[in-house]
Amino acid sequence: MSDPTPPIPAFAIAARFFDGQSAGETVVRGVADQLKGRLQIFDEESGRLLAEWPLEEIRMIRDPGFGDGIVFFREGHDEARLNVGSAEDAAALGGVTPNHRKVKVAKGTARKVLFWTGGAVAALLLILFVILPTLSDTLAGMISPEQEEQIGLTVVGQMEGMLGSRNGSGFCTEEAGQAALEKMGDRLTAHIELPYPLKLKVIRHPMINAFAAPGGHVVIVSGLLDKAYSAEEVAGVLAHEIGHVYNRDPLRITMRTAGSAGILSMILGDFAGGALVLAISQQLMQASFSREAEAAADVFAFEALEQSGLPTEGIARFFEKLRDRYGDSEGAMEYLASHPNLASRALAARAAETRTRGDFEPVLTDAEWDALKAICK
Amino acid sequence: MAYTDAPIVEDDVLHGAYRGEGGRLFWLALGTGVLTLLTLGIYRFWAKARIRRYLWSATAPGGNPFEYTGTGLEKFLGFLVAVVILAAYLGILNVVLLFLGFSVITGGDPNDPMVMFQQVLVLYINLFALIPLIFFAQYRARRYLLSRTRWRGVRFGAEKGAWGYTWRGCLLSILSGITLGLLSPLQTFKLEKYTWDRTWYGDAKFTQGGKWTSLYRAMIHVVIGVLLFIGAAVLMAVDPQLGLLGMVLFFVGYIWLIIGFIYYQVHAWRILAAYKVLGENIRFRSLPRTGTIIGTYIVGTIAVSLLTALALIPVGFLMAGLATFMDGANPNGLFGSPQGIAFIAIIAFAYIFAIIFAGALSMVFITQPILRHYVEETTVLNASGLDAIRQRVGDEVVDAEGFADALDVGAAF
Repeated sequence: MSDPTPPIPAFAIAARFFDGQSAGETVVRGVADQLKGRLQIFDEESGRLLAEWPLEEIRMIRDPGFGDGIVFFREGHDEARLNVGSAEDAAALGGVTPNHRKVKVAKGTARKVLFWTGGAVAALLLILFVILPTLSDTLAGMISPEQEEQIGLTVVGQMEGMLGSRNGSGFCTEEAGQAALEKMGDRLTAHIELPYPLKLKVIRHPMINAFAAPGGHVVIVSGLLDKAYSAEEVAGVLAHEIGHVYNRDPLRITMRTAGSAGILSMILGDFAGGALVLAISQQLMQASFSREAEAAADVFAFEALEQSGLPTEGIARFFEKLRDRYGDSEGAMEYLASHPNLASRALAARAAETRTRGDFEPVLTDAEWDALKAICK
Repeated sequence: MAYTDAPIVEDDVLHGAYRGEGGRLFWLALGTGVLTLLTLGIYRFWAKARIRRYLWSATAPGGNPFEYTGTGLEKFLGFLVAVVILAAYLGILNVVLLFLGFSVITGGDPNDPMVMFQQVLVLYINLFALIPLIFFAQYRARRYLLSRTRWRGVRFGAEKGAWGYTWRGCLLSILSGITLGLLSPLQTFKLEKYTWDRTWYGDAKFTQGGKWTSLYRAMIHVVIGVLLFIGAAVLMAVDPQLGLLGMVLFFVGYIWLIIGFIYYQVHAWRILAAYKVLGENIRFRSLPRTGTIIGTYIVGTIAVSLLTALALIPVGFLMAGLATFMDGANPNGLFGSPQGIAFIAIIAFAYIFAIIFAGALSMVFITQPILRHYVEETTVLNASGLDAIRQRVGDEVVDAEGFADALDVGAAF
């Protein structure tokens, strides 16, 4: 017994034909002949042969919106279109055209994609990590110290707002404590030239932290004073912040951040879950900027302490305290953190020590240290 | 209404037909959405091309479908080009503007409104630098879209002119801004005329006729909304006793204004369509209805929310089950235990799934019905003139619609 339904050697379909030269429509009859491997398209009215398409070159337009009115064309001659009216005729034609779903990918496409993607990535890296940082550093250098102090005032005001007080009411101004702080600052800056005078302030808040703002403003958060074991520990932190002031980091980083703002969200686009990817990549990029600055401020701090005849033990203990309290960034998280790993910072601080233990003139007298600790009380 | 009484010869017309099916579109949108997520967004160019191919082919005036010939690949490459140019432009502009901004900060009390205004200006001035780019991107995107659209085998096309569109767009926006919207019909009309006078179908050019003042008819409900606002303000100022009435009037005015804006868009479209000519005498009649559009939005939004909530029910049960299984464990240990991590993973999955699912549903329940309404209410008049239109040479648009993609100002699909 042979196959009960042998393939139909030839069949006709009703369609509309567009020759690709004009928008005029011709009602046609298509005759598909499998043995000859071709589709002949005849004008229904005059019977004239309009086109002859090899079956294996016939393609369908993909992702059609509905079942009837499927459009076919001939690969490589893509101007003419055949609009097959009924779903049955379209299915029949689909059945004898083996390649109708094939998509032609031009030769060298993979190389082209790699070339363009690589070029774009390289250009973006160049913009984000070379051009913009250089430009913002250069322009930051052109802002006058007086101007920068003004900008700093605004930034300090915003910081105060973030810590929950306004109009300067959050700052502790008790005289003896302030004098002790100034003395500490003087000792640490005696051997260097800052572009503007140091302006030290203490703000009332339980957080253990300190900030440097543009123009020589350094704000110590009172939580840091409460939890410090010694004046040298505070001096170590202050030396680190003075390092930021010396390098003009707050201004440079503000300008770098502004430069890259919006660029990442543009690259990633708007898709489900995109907000998370965006947040992570933004953090990655900014963290790499600021980790660099933090490391430089650490190095500055160790040197300033050394020059002022103070031990690095204090700042090392401070790093350990932060680690114990807030945990450390380890493994992959390290790349997301804005500061270097705390354990390694403590190690580096101890390694920078040159004097024997206890061999130094205290930065504050006991009375001054008590006054500083009580500045917000 | 009078302005829609175009010369009608009913035996020589092509009626717009839309034959898209909700089911097909839903699976297409859901599948491409998942692929976009899995590829961290890279697939979005291909997703858009596939959705367009579907929507175009579903649009079939006189039974002959449109055809979208754009590819995801060319969109992706165009995006790469655009994003590099934009990153350089925006990055440098951001830094320079901040530098200039810093030069105007004079310090002072951060609570002083004047100082605050200065700071806000410094921080957001770069957004204004984006506006010209948006006009530029929109024109380029439209030109690309037309160059990749065929109907009856013949290509559409648009002339180059993105810069001309950009400066006209900026100027007209400023003009309608400083007149508090009174001249916005001028903006609508001039920009429409600029784009359509440069639009081709095969070797036939479109012409936008008519006068810009005729668009004022479409503004009527915007005006009523504004008048209600003024009335409410007057009431509240004159007599505190009438405060409650004023509040009600205020609310009514707000709703009226929103409807008024949609009414303006729909009716401006009607008027502008009636004055478009293709070639010698092919004309159009397009009569979409404000009520249908608003109804589609309301019903569609309800349907999307309900169905998304329904789809999330199994996820809710899963979470409830897991929560009882964890049985009052320390909530801080959420990251520590395997159950805790599974819990968080389910929430993250549910969140992302809900976004993709709701996105696919709103394609089906909002985007497609509105497109269907516009297509079905549009008629081509003197359609036999189409037979004389000849093919045009394709336009190369190297950057595809990369600028619009990067700035996210593309069309809804």
